[in-house]
Amino acid sequence: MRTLRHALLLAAVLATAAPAMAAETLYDSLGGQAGIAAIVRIALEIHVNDPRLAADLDNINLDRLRPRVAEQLCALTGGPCTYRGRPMGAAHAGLVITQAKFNAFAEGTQAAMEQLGIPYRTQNRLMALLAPMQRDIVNH
Amino acid sequence: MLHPSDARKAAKCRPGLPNRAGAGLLAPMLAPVLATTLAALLGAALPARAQDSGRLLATSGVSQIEGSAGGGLAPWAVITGYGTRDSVGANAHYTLAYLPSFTLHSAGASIGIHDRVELSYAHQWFDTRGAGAKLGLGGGYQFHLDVVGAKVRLFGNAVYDQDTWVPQVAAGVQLKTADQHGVLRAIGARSSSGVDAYLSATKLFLAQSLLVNATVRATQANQFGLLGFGGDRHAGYSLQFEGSAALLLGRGFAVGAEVRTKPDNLRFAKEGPAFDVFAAWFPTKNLSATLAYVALGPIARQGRQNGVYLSMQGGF
Repeated sequence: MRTLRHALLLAAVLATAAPAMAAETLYDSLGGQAGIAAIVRIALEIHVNDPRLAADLDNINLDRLRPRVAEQLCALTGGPCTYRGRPMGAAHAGLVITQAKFNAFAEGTQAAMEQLGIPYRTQNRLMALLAPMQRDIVNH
Repeated sequence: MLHPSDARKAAKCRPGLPNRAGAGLLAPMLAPVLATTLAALLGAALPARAQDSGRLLATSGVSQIEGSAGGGLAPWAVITGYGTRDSVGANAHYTLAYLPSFTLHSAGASIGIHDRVELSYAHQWFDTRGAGAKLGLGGGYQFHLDVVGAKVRLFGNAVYDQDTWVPQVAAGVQLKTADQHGVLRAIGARSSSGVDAYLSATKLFLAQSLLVNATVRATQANQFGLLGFGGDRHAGYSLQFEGSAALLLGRGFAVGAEVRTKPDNLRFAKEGPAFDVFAAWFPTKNLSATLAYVALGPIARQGRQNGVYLSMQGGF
């Protein structure tokens, strides 16, 4: 009887623990909503001060851009969000985006994560999700 | 089978060519300086927009022993330097492999055009140190090799194509010319010049922080070409495999390992595959250093040549 009780207890513990043991999403590794908001805030700060990108961000309303980028990253990394912004190609159609600018954007985003102390390998997991966007974003 | 006296005769029967052992001290000091100066001049001569150094840190690879962008032993499908498809990049290198019986030097420069075409030049010199006397060539006897390389990226992008299995693929040639014709003939080599052709596939698994490369090379070269091309055991081309794997450990820091199989064309001395384990550091896009432990296999009957490999590189 005691054995059965122990078995049931063990089963209950395992059942509760199971969801937590599922592979942590990148969204979680980046610190969830707050972590992603911090990355976006610092990255955009770096981007507007980057001479390679400053001109393109001159007329952009950063207060409107920040939540949209955060929503996109949340959806991309497996978080509980749906991206409702424009597709990447359309969103950048009015700008001249070279590979060099796209990569400068990536470098700034990496630097932001570095500042936040996000481990290098976690940084690369986000970079791996952003890299294929080159095909849609680079238009020159 | 080469008898030491044959080699001595062969070395002596070239009255027009001085033994270049005397250049042994000056050349290693000058080569990196010249290569770096060339890269700097090239950089200065180009309009600002032509050199964007727009690719991401470390995605240039390094210049391998024959001057093509890659790892230490194998060429990869990446194009040298940091230029994007809108621009030009370049790199200069000086590499030293200090082995038990020999010292192998390589110095050269490469230019990458629009992340599509790569042109390279490297000069290798192989100092036989004390082994030269044992082989009847004279102490400090040197073999020299010039390598002109061209590479074209065919398709794929190692960095951007993270959502597909398609690697970056490039095809290349290395045109090689060795000096010391008489000695090469005496050891059984068929020719003092040859052309290597290769196909490389490079894939970066960014989410795993892992880069892998596979290269297939058609070659006749004995010891990279330093000991000539073709031989009395096997004369023609053979297909060889080169593999590299690198783990990205941190910003601009990678460790990895490589293997490169080589032909075994000469009766005079057995030749085997080469291996290395390396650590590469890219403090900036303009500078990198590679430290490796290399096992080049037996060379010229002097036993297994395991030693230290150091490469310094500069570019944009």
